[in-house]
This record gives sequence, structure tokens and C-alpha cells, in this order.
Amino acid sequence: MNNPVYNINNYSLLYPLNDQPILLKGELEIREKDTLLLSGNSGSGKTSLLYTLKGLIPETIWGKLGGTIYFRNRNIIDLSPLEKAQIGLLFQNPACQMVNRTVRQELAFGLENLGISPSDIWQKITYLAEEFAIINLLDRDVTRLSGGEMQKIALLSIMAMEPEVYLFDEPTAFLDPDSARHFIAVFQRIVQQKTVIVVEHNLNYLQDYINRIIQINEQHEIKELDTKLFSWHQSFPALPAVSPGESILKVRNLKFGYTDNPILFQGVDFELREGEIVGIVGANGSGKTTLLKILAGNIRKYIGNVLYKNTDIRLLKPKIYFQDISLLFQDPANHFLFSRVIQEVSGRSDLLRISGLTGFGERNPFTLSEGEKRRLSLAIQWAGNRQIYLLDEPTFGQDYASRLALIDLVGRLRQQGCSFIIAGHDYAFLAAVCTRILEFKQGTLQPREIRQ
Amino acid sequence: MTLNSRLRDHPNDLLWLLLACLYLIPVFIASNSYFNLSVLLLALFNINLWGKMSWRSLALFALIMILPLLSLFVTVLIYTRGAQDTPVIMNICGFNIYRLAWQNAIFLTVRAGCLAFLSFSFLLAVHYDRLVLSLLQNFHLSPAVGYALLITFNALSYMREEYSRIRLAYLMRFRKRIFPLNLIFPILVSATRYAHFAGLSLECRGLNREKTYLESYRWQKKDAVILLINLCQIFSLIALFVINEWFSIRWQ
Repeated sequence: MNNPVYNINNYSLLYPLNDQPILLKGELEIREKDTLLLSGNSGSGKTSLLYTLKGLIPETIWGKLGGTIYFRNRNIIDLSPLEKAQIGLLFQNPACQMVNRTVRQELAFGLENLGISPSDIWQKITYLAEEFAIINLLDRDVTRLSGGEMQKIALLSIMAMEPEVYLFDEPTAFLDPDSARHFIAVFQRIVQQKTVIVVEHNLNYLQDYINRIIQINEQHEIKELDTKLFSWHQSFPALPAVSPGESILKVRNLKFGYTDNPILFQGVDFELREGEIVGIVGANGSGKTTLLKILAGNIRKYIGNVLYKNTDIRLLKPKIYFQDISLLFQDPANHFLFSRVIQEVSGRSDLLRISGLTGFGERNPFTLSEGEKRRLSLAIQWAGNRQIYLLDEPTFGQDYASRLALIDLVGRLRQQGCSFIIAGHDYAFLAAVCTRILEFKQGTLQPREIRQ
Repeated sequence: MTLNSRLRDHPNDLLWLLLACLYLIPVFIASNSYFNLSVLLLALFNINLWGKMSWRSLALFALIMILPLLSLFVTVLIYTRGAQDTPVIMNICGFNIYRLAWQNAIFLTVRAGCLAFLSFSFLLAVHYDRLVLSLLQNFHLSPAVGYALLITFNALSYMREEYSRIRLAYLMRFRKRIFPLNLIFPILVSATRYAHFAGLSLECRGLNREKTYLESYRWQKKDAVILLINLCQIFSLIALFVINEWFSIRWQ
């Protein structure tokens, strides 16, 4: 049997100004070469546990720790910075992890801190860049990367440091399916001798690599599950089919590009009908978010036409257009303006009930869990009685239960005749809710078959 | 080819700071508008010779500067003390322009313009990240301070994006272009969150230890040579104007 890396016993954590501690009852031993999936509902304390395992709590992040956590038979709070450097942690949001200006500097940063010579750093970066096909990104400004590209760079910058233990908080959340599969395959080859602890909601990619599953149940108990009996493929109940109504949004021969990528996409043609839900998929950086921004009237310089009820949206005043259309960003917190949930929905408690937020009216929206935040952001738009909803990666950071609740909410809105365009990588979710799916391929938007 | 030569094809960014001082000091001291303009032209020539500068940004800056410079010109023209004791050189719409007021207005406007353009041109030439890395490597600036600065620059871009999203969310929701004060709330939350995670990212990747640098931004001979060339040019220019002044006094 391999040597133990972590020993966790009756872990508890209480954040300041919080009266509800995070609890993990029981004992857990994590051994060398374990590739462990940490599973549990939103708010069960998975991310906090990763921070603790990295040694960030209580020194860097304030919190009162209870129980014991040992890393190689040493109390986690006694580890030196050098020992902590043997533990690599990837955060949920890659944009906040970028410290340097260029990708090359970002990849080199951790290695520089380890005191490695420039020529060795150069070799390692070149190797990783070739292996993960990111040579074209090396000199790019980190602020110009797409979400998926940022996630790749954040992952690689940790891998470059070759830590003993990898702690990953949703490593594939921003990656398209091909990138996620490729990344995990190469990653597995490189780190097969290491200990890996993953928190992930997209389980489809992980089945072949995980050898242990630890679940934190609703009673805060740690339970080990059998990998063979675990349901890896999350399926969602499909929304009942409805016959779409009249066409309300038409995109005609749309072409758009940025300064450093003159043709991002071209010849984009499609229609959205009343009650229809259209999914948009595609590789990272293919233009999904950009297309939504164009449809929301946020980008106005493009070639082609976007017609809303047969009028070019560039001719419509925002006051008129935004009565009927709404874009929901990847981060639902972008939509919150008030300090109480009930204020966000203009006092409509019926919307809170439908959105599964009963009892949350007096809470601060920023303190809700990710799933609750997402449902609240949709309820906010619902309060405005919109016709078209544009959703950008709505399942990002959402657990299975939250996704189910989201499907239910989308279904209710569609019953009222609302239409959706949903961009994302979560194909299982899209297959359940969408009436059709379009895919960005080589700069054009093509229909894709829906398979449950 | 060495590693450093693959990466370093530009002067040290500290050089631009030194050159900015070198060019700004004579303009502060000089009392000759032609000299000031010559220094500005020389600086622009050298910035483009040794580095890169966006002419478009400079042109935009010139447009922005028109109004303040014009205001300065008019103010000095009206309020120069003792100007009435000098001859009137022209009359515009019944308003007398005195020689002293005219000379002062031109001199001060040119000087202010030159100082502003010089500062802005050097600002355009400097790459903030390379400057911070240069300070880290040459002056042993604390990595915590240096990387906090780098994060701040990245944060500006991130916050701009966040602001545009929050603004659009507000516009879609309330259909008003005037933004209330409570729009600051989500922006502040976002900024705090960014700072929190960026700090954690530094900690997680072992900052504050003896570190190496992939890209060397140490002061090199090449930088010293460029500084020397610029020094020679400035002194030649000063000498030229001093000699010219001397000759013009003699001929009078």
C-alpha cells in the first residue's frame, strides 16, 4: 500500500462573521498516487477543504480550524512555505490567478519562485507548450485570452512546478469537451505518479482516471464510494417538445473579428423562434460569448444583420430592445445591485418561490451559493418579463441539483413563450433543454445533432 | 543564440525613465521656445529610434491638450503683469495684445506643451511590466510589492471588463443610461474578490522567496550606450543654442 499523504480527522472550519461551521465528520486518509474525486453538494465545503489542504487556512485565509489535518505526518498548519510549494492548487476562476502580463511569464512564474535556472525554465515551458499545443499563445497578453485558454494556462503554470500533490477546483469548467479530454489524457500521463484531488461537476471526462471517490453527504459525513457503482454520466430529464412559434430573431450573414483575429466567425445565419431554445457550442475562443454580446447589442460593429422582429437591432433604441431581451453573464453576481435578495426581484416573493429561493429574501445576494446565485440572476430577468434570454455558460460552477433546478426554471419560462439562446460546454445540459444545437466549426455556425 | 538574446530585443525600461528626466530638466530650465521644441523633436526621434511609440495615441493626446493649452495661452495673454508698459503689437476685436503678454503666452504654452508631450511620449514608450521587472532585478524591489503592482495592472483590464458587464446588466434591467451609486457595490465586490484570489495565487506559487527570472531585465552595456548617445545629443543641442545666443548678442 502506498504511503499516506494526508490524514484528515473530524475536520471543521468556522469563517469569521459566520455562525455555521463547515463540518466533515469521520476520518479520511489520502495516499500517494490516489486520484481522488471530492463529491458533494454546493456549499458542503469542498473548496474550503482544498484551501485547508494547501495550507492557506488559517494563515492566509482567516478561519478557525478544528480536528486534525496531517500532511506527511506533519500538522498542516506547521508546514513551511517550501513544503507548501509541494502542493499545487488550481482555483475555480482562472482570470483571478493571472499575475504576469504574458503567458510565457505566467508559466515561468512558479518555476522562478522555486529558483530554477532560466535555461531550465525555458526548456520546461517549451515542452509544455508543445505537449499542450499552446505555442501560439506564449507571447499573448493574459488579459486577451478566452476563459478556456486562461484555464489551460492556469493549469499548466501549476503543472510546470511539478508539485507532489495537485488540488484542482473544477479544472475543466471553462474547457470545451475536446480540450478537456485532451488535457486530462496528457495530464494523466505526466502526473501518474502524483496524488491528485479533484472537485469537479463535469464528471464525464474523469471516469477513466479517478481511483477513489469521497462524498460529503448532507449529514457532513465523509463516505467512500465505489468507483464502479458511481453514476459517472449525468443525465438530465429532457424538456417536453413544443412546436415553436413565429421567428423573432434573425441573424443574417454575420461576420465579426478582433484586431488580432480578423475573422472570428463569418457567414453566421440562424433564426430563433418563439418558445425555442437554441444551444451554441464550440471550442474555446470560437466566438460563443462574442455572438451573445452581438445579439445583446453590446457589440455594434460587425458585418451582416441581426433582426429583431424584422428590425435591425442597431436601429432599435436600447430602451426598446432591452424590454424584450436579456443577457445573463457567466458570473451571476454581475447582475446583483442590492443588499437583499427580495430587492433584486422588485419585492416579488412569487418569483423567489418559483426559483427555489423561498426564505432567502433577506439574505445578501453575494452570500448565496453558486446555484442560488444563478437562479436569482434568472429570477431578476424574469421580473422584467423578457421575451429572449441569452445565457452564457449557465451551468458554470453548478452542481447536479442546481442544474436540475435550472432546467426546471428554463422549462417554466419557455411555457410562457420565452425563447433562449444558451452558449456553453455542458453538452448533457444543453441536450436536455435545447430544441436544437448549433456548433462553431472553423469560423462558421453549423447545426449539430442532439444526442441524449 | 543565448536565451536572453531570444527574449530581449529592446532597451531596459528604466532607460526610458532616465531619458525622461534627461529631456524634461532642460525644458524646465530653458527660456527659449525654439530650444524646447527642439528638445521635444529630439526626444520623439530617439524614442522611435530605440523603442516603439503609438503615434495614434500621441495624436489623440494632442487633441485632448488643445483646450487646456489654449486656455493657458489666453489666460497669460490677459493677465500678464506689467504688459501694458510694453508696445501693442496687434488688436483683436478691440482687445490690445501687448508684446510682453504675447511673448509670455507663447513661451509658457510651448513649455507646458513640451513638458506634457515629453512626459506622455515616454509614458507610451514604457512597458509597465518590463519596468516593474527591471526594478525588481536592478533595485531589489520586494517581489511582494513588484508583483502587487503587476497584478494591479492586470486588474485594471479585468475591472474594465467587469464594469462593462455590470453596466450592461444595469442597462438591460432598468433601461436607463444614468447609473446609480449602488452600481459601485458589485464593482467593489468584484475588485475585492479579484484582489483576494490574486493574493492567494501569489502565495500558492511560492512568492517572496529567492527567485530567478526567465527574462533578464538587468542594466546592460547597450542601455548605457543609448543613455550616453542621448546625453551627447542633449549637450550638443544646448551648446548650439548657447553659441547661437552668444553670436546674436555679439552681432547686435
